[in-house]
Amino acid sequence: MTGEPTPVPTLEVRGLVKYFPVARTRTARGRGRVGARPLLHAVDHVSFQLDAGRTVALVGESGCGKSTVARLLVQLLRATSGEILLDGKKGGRRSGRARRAWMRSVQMIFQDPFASLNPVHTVRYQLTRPLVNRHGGHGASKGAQLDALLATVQLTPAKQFLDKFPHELSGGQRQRVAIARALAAEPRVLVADEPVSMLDVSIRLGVLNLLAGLKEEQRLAMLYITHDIASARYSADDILVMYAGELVEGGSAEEVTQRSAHPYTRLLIDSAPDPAHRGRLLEGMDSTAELPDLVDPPVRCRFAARCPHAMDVCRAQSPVRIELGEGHWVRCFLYGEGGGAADATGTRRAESDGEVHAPVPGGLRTSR
Amino acid sequence: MNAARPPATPGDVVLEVRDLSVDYGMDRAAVHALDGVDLTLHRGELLGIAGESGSGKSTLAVAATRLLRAPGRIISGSVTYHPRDSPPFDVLSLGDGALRRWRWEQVSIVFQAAMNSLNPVTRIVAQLTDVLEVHRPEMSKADRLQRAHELVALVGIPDRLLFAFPHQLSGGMRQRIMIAMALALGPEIVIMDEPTTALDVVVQREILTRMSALRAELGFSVVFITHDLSLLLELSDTIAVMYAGKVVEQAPADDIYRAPLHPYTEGLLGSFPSLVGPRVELVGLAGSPPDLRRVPPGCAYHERCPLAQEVCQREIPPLESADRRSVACHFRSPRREVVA
Repeated sequence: MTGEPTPVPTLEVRGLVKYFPVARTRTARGRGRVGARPLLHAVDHVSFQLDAGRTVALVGESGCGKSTVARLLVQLLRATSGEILLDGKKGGRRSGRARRAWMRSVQMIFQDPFASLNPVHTVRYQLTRPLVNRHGGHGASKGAQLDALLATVQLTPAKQFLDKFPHELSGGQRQRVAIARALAAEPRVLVADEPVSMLDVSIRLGVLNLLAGLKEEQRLAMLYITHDIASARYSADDILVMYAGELVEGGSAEEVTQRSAHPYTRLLIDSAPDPAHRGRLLEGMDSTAELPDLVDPPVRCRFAARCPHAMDVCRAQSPVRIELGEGHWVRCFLYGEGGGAADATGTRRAESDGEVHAPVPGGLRTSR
Repeated sequence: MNAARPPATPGDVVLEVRDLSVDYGMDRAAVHALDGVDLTLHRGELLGIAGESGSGKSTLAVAATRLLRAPGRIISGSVTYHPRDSPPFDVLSLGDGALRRWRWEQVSIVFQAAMNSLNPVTRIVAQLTDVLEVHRPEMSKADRLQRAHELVALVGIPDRLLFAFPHQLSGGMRQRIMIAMALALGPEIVIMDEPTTALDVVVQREILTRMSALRAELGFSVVFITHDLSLLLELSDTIAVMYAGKVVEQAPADDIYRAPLHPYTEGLLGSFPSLVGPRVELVGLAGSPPDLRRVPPGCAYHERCPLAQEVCQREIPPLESADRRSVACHFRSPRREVVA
């Protein structure tokens, strides 16, 4: 990741794995593991770090495992293996004080503000609870803190909102209350899982700008999970692209969107409607749109079946991470000799300069 | 069916909506979901309707096809359909039998939730041949099956999936089946109400590419309803922007992109982060969409509008038209860039 490296990242994820056991069916074959329960590889060896005052966007389609990562970070799910370190300390205990402290420090904003707020409680109640949990004392004494909280999410005057129920608020206001509730615990890390995708277009930007401001002011380490790579470019410092449970590309937001290296990243970029590029959207597509089966997937590049540049090696081995410089990396056999396997099969080496992985469709050399 | 899209000329109108108003509920409690909407769809055109939740865009689709259910009521207006070779007629006064023939044969709808629109307990093939059985009683069973094979091929679904159940298909495939069903009888107009909103961008692109190709091939007109103005800019010939039950601006897509007139359209255009060009701070729109139970007096947009003056709180601006453009704003006219 780019930027001034801090000695210890606020949150570090190392080799995070989450497999879900699934029922044995006729279609989910055990692939050589007779007797073993088939496993769905939702998150497979994912590593990244979050630093204070920076936003990392995790971009991918539905079903790629990005929400599972969010749930693992806030300990709503237990990882199959791998570790998550908060200020260098390991989490993952099942109960007790350590877990509660973790959950205070790592807060989450959910996608649907219509479902994430309790409909039978007022805004005052929903915000007082985390304040009391965090600081102790009585709910009645939290008036000033409540006002301050609502002011940070730009719901002013606070009086107008405190005694309202969620159904009396608009979608944007609800999401702001949900953000205020997360902030009440004074977290170090904020995990925002598609925070604007349920909101009306005209108010999305307001919420994104609010989150960006909060990250700066409160020095939060933020993970912004989205399917919209344009909004990731807008609001994040770094972008990680996730496909079928694996990270496939990462780097600064500008590097990843302007000089995207992985064919999947390029597919995402080409598929985003962009008024500045009118007419390009409906030009022919050279990929299909189906996600691979993640139940006991074979060792191979998971994008190979959809990839217009797929080679034999892609179907035989899993690509390793190749550094392209300036913190930009990719997992793809089209790049670098570091992959080793790529050279063994005589694949042409793609240079890591801007010219080769320019974000133009077809800018990537097709290997035979 | 004509081979190519004929040019959209004013004389070549296929559907005309005039002064259409729809209320939900009665009397004082009524919510005015549509308030005097005028729209014209030309033959072969793709008309995009952009609007946020509550702007009335879906109500427009169901009202114009008379699918509106109670407590919704059409208060006033007309919907005129112009067939190719017979005189135009008012859809709102069609009898049951004529209405049944008009729907699906002349106009069909693709809804957002493909999962809820397909019957989960019957195979795809039955859902495709049912339409033919009702509307084309003269067709033999073998012919109907043949047509079903053609239809799935048309939308690029593998033939074997014709005998699958809806749950065996992905979301994108289901939506393509919905499009195949809509095209079963070769309609003049296909209304698409947020057809890709629940889908991923890559799947969305695949479906839209397919839809454009079919439109070029079969020459039907499309009314494409979505909240995503950037998508409409890619697809549409003409775009109508709705706000609080009214059309506030209508113009060719190019004009909307290059020179939006209504401040709301302008604000919407500034709300989409771009993937090209420099990274800039965007401001977006102030406030939130209006509650239709309490629409502000005067211009419904005045509370959020940077141009708002006193007159905006008092008077509702009329929709003014000139040169294929129309706009409803006290300070913007379709004739000149800015007045006042």
